[in-house]
Amino acid sequence: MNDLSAAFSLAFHLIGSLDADLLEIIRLSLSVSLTAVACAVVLGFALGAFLAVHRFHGRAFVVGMFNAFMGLPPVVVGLVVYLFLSRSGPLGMLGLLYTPTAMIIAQVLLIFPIVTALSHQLINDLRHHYIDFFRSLGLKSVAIMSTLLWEGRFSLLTVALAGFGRATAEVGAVLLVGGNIKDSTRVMTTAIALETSKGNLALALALGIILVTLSLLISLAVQYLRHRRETFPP
Amino acid sequence: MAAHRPAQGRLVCDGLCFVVNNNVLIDNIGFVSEACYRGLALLGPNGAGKTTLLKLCHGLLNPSSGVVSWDGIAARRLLGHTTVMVPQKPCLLRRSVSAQINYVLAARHIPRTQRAARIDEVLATMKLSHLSHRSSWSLSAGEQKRLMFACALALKPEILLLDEPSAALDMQSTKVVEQVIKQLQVLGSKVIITSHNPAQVRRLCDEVVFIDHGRLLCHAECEVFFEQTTKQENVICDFINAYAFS
Repeated sequence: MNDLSAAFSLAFHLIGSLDADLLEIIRLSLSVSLTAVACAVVLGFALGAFLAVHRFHGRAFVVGMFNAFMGLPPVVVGLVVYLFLSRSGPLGMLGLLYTPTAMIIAQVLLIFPIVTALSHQLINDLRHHYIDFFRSLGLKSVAIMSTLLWEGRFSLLTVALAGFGRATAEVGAVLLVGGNIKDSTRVMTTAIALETSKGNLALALALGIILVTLSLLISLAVQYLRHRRETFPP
Repeated sequence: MAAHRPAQGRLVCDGLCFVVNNNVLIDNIGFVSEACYRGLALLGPNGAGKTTLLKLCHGLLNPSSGVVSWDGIAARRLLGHTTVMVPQKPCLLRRSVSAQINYVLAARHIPRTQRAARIDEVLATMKLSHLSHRSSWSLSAGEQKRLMFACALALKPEILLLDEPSAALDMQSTKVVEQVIKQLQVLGSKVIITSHNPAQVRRLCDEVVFIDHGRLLCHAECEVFFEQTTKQENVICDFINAYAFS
């Protein structure tokens, strides 16, 4: 109980004093996660729409694989990225290990299947609703995909949010490929893990409170946007 | 695209079958609707296969066997060109009424410079001008149906296929729609409708195709169909008598 009250007071103190270390951790966390989400969204929405609109041999297998990959263990993803980026790995010459770029790559690999699978499901449902309309107009598949992505934009925001939630909550993969280096690759989740291991529970809890608050604020912003657009469409 | 335009509107269905998962929805239907007839009604009880036949005539569905063609051109090749279909349930995008029509015109490659005038024209015709900036999703069912007609009308179709055109419409809107259909017929368009409303069929069509369980039971001129009830099969008599009763 003391830890909790101390955590809250420390969290407010850190925020109120605009602690430089804290701000750097928050900046890096948001920078890494938002970049990863942006990459995963661009790739995942496009692939999700492609899988929803096109019918080809082996499509069910591909969709099944993406559904299965939604539950990829972060540590395994981190390990695979580590093996690729380590000096002896195939991409070792790029020197990306223990950099924010490595963390972004790991997070993209984690989020991409989630965004692809969820957007495929969503756009596939829309496709069933609109397909006769599109075919009646003689639309080509690229036009169908872009229209469906636009029609599903508010629901796709939620998909992107789910990806962001997964990215910000992730610790195993970024710890492996980022190394939790102060002022370089230390993000909120790895900082929480480190402070907890050091026994500094108040600081760990304070960082946790800030992380949860940030996630909540972003969720509320998306929710507000969705509500506003659905109340006053188009 | 010009090569795909049927000159007359002669519809030929020959040995038409459509089977889904071993269910025969359309069973060996064959008839010819000559170009001189501007209105063809597809009649039959619920589940007869009217909408499926309409989609086959539009080219939305591929026949399992047999042929459906317009002036010798397979219906599927005309999809997206000269045929336009208005489905029973409105299928609208999340955008404003005028943007919805603009989307349809853009999809059919109508030049941008012509679109505004066409949109204004069809909105006025369908009495939707006052709703042009409203979201199509916020319209009533009847207004949405009229918007679907407006979209079809904007494309100036040579062949118009209507699935239950008066469903969800009040008397006044039905009258507006029927006037528009008649205008299109005068201008040379061929109209195929599915309907449960024999009175409407008599007003708009000059020939009738009656189907039941996917099979063709009767193909006749409209007046002949409704007047020779005693010579018809039981299911047709029931259909016409139900109309007389109502």
